[in-house]
Amino acid sequence: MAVVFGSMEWYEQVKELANKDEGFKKGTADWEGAVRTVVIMDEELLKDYSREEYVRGFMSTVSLMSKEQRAQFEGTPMGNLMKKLGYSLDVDIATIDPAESAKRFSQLTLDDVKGVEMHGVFEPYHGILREMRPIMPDEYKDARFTLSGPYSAWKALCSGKQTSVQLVMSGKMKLEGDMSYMMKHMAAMNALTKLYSQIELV
Amino acid sequence: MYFEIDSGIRENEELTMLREQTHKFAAEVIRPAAKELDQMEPRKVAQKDSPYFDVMKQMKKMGYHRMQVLKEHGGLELTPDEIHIINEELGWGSVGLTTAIGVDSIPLAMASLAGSPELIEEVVRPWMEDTEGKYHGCWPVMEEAHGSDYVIGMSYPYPEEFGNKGFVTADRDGDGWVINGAKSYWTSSAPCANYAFLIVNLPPHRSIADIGGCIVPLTLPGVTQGPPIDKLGLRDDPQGELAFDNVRIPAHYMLLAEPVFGRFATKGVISSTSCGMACMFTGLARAAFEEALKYTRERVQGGRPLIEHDVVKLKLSDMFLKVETARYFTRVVLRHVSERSRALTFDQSTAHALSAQVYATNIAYEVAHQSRQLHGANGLTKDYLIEKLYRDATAGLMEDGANEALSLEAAYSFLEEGRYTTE
Ligand SMILES: Cc1cc2nc3c(=O)[nH]c(=O)nc-3n(C[C@H](O)[C@H](O)[C@H](O)COP(=O)(O)OP(=O)(O)OC[C@H]3O[C@@H](n4cnc5c(N)ncnc54)[C@H](O)[C@@H]3O)c2cc1C
Repeated sequence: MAVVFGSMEWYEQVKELANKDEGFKKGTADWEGAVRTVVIMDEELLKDYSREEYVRGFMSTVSLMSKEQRAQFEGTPMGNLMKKLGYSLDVDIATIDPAESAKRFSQLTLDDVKGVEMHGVFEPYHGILREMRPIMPDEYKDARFTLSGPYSAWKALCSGKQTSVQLVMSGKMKLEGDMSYMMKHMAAMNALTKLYSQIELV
Repeated sequence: MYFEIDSGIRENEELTMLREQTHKFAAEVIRPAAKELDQMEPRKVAQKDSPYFDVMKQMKKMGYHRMQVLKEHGGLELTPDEIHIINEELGWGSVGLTTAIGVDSIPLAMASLAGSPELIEEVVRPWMEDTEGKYHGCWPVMEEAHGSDYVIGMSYPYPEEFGNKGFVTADRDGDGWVINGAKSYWTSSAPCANYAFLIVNLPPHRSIADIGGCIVPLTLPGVTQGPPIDKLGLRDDPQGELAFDNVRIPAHYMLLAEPVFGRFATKGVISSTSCGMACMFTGLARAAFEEALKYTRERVQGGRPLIEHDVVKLKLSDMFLKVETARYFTRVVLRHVSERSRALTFDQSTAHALSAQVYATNIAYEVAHQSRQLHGANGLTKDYLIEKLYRDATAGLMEDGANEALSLEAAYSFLEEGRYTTE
């Protein structure tokens, strides 16, 4: 089933795929440590989110947050974005009409989404993907690595046209953390991000 | 021709054929052209009507520049054993022209491994389709102010000690990059090349560790290619300076834009080139050994051919040992480095790769020296191949890193990577 990048379904599919994949098991056999992921909103995202299915995917992750958690976004770029879309942070997600939100997304400019980030985590551990989910910005602050980049770079990764290592080397993505460990375990990074390209996106 | 001790290779018909075919090319095309180029004025070597370009064209027809390029981009993606066999045979022919085809493929291989789909379309594909020798690559790393610094700086923990002046710099400029500075006149093939995989210093330009790398068409405004230098060895590969004055490249030509990765990736590239050096200098050592065998069979002193004297046999045995150990050590290292480099995993064990280069170039120099000594005064004349082999072997101790610097970096590397434990 085709899914939206970054939606709950997408995270679940990656996890399922990884835990059946021999290449992943081998590539991450000695890996220890979480990787925090940061997707930065850009023009390509605005284009995608003008489609109803994408908004539905986005809302599926927002709906995982409690109202208290959502309140933490007050005054942040994400909070401001919700306001620009016409929603309060404690809105009942079930009442949001995806078609209407997609229309509102299509009227936004790059300035409106400046600084908006979506966070996630993946944590392979000795051949098993034990954690793979969206997270709050303050979670996993001490993760061994942070992999961040604009939405378009993540999409390039999902299309299989470029690997995470290529994207990081060319500066399209940023990788921070324990680099001497990463140097010896780059295969693990590639083993996971290679799976992204096997997931069909809407 | 030597006896292949590894039965897996000896009994493999395809590899045996590849060796014979490459050897024939090295003997019939490379050696005679290299001899002619060796005795020409450097300026003439780099001129369009020089045999240099004919040989490059023929090497491209044979596909030697495509060895490392991924199949999906039109390359051959040869196995490490195939790469090893080809490089040793070409090096047997001449290390100068082998260096030329080697550096030619660096921008290509880097663009294929790390480039965006646009770069593959703009540079790699047309280059792959070129049978006329229109494209020619080079690999400028060192500057006048920084030679060994680049080698030792890969793992040395205090690279800022090497200063922060004299680099070729790249700075962001709108959605592209702008490049300034000059690379050393030791850049192989630079006077003839039209593309470079250029090593640059990235912002904030604190030290040699702020390293990056990009593809630069040398036809861009602001690039100056210096004249070929006159030198002792590798005279069949023209070398010269490259200067960059506000040269602008688009963002997707910058392959290594992050210093941390630039440092790892450069170690990866140097590990691959070190393996190439080790293969071709094993070839040179073998050529020098064969010249000694030939000469000592013919030359009679003390009433019998030199080869019949036990003291000469002992020397030949020592040379044999050196050539054979270089071949088999290099082959095993190349297998590991090649596999890991293609996977872009940066765990290729640089220490092994650099040590293979140091070992092969050291023994090539020693064997060439021993062989030249066995040639008596004839070994000092241009009538005998050993004279050129000896000069080329001398250059091998410095090419792609002084052996002392490579050894030092190998030590830093295996200590840092924790690959040698005593538990
Ligand atoms: C045939 C040939 C081909 C080449 N091709 C290329 C090419 O394609 N691209 C390119 O960029 N360069 C190329 N080079 C340049 C080559 O990489 C450099 O010459 C080499 O790295 C040494 O640098 P250098 O000549 O500046 O010597 P230096 O670095 O000045 O070294 C001089 C001496 O000092 C020693 N030394 C240096 N640093 C230290 C230290 N910290 N501690 C103790 N001793 C030290 C060295 O071992 C050496 O003996 C080529 C050179 C040759 C000879």
